Amino acid sequence: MRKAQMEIMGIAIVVMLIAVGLVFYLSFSLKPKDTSVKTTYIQSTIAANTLNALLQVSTKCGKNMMGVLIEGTKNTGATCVIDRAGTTKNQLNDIAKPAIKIILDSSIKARNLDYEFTSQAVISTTSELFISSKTGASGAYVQVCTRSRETETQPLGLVRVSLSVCNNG
Amino acid sequence: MRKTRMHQPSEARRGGRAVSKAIHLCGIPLSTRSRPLFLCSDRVSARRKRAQLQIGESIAVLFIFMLMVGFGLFFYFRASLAGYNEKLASDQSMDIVRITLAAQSLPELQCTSRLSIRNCVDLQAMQALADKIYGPNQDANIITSEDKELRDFYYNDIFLTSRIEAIITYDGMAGSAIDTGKYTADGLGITFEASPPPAAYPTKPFIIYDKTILDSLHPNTYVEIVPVVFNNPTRMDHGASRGELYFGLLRITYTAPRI
Repeated sequence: MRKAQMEIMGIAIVVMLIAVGLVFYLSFSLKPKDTSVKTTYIQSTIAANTLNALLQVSTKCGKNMMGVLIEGTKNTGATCVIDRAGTTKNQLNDIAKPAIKIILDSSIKARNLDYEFTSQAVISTTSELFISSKTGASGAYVQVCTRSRETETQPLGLVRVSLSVCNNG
Repeated sequence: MRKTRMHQPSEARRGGRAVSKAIHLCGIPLSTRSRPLFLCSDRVSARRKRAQLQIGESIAVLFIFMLMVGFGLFFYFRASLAGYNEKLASDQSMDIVRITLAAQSLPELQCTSRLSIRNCVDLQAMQALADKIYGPNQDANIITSEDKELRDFYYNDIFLTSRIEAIITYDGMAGSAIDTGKYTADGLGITFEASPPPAAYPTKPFIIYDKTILDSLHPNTYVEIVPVVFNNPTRMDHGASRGELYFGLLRITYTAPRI
């Protein structure tokens, strides 16, 4: 083999080594970090814990728990007495809805996450109670939502409640 | 040069060949007998130049090789350092999960089992524990040495260098604002200070445990928030097994040392 050919071989080896190094470097630096599973797990945990705590909270309606009030979504006209003077309020719109909004805003929206709360009577197909923190057109941005396992309220188990937690915008 | 010129005629006289080029070596006059192997001719200097070039080439090749080895080592150490940091962060994020689970299920904070509510914290129990391991009436400066020992030798193993706080966000009774006075009026002993807007929460956090790292400038900080139900047993109706139940959060801040 001539000397010039040897030199070219040397250069080729050097170029090859540099190319291999670059390939390794780029493969490490451009590799996307897989966080989707972790995010889904965190969001589902938040959704499940929040919903679990939410249903136990006392309300103005004779210290009834929120779960009992939500069962009232079967009957949207249900009222309750909130003080000794006998003032009556609509269980769903006056008591449950604002309370749920306060709770979800402070625990989920405060973390820069969106939520969708739905309660629905088992026998009905229309949504009885729907509270969401999402703004704007629903198709305007892509969201990753993690839905909590649907929970049936106790003790009657006639209303299905679910809470979805989504990435904000 | 002057000397050379002086010697040239004598060489000619002795019958020797008059050599104008090769009889002097780098300006030193030489006789034909003692002619050296290396002479200062154009050929010799060309050879020398080529040798120098070859040496230079070898040095350049060595330099590039060392440079490549250096780059390789640099990237290798950088990659291994990044891997180590990733492992450290993963271990520390596991620590915060472990601390959160421990705080969530700490028997000292749990509501009575008769309630059978998950993630339920008893306000009276919480206050008693905070008095013991943080300081009476939320004052960390007046903790007794005995309680400090208890905190350092028992709870430190569980909660490490973290801070555990309780925040009530909805007390079910007074709309969005929290009735901060009623806890003292109930004889519960807890004081929740109101936190006016634009604060994220309506009350200031109630500290249960605090051993966060303060002397480190940039510790790795992890925060975990768990929604819980707070049971106020002082507002229990006659014959009932539960008092008022409030919605709140346990906020766990873990400050891990940066290595």
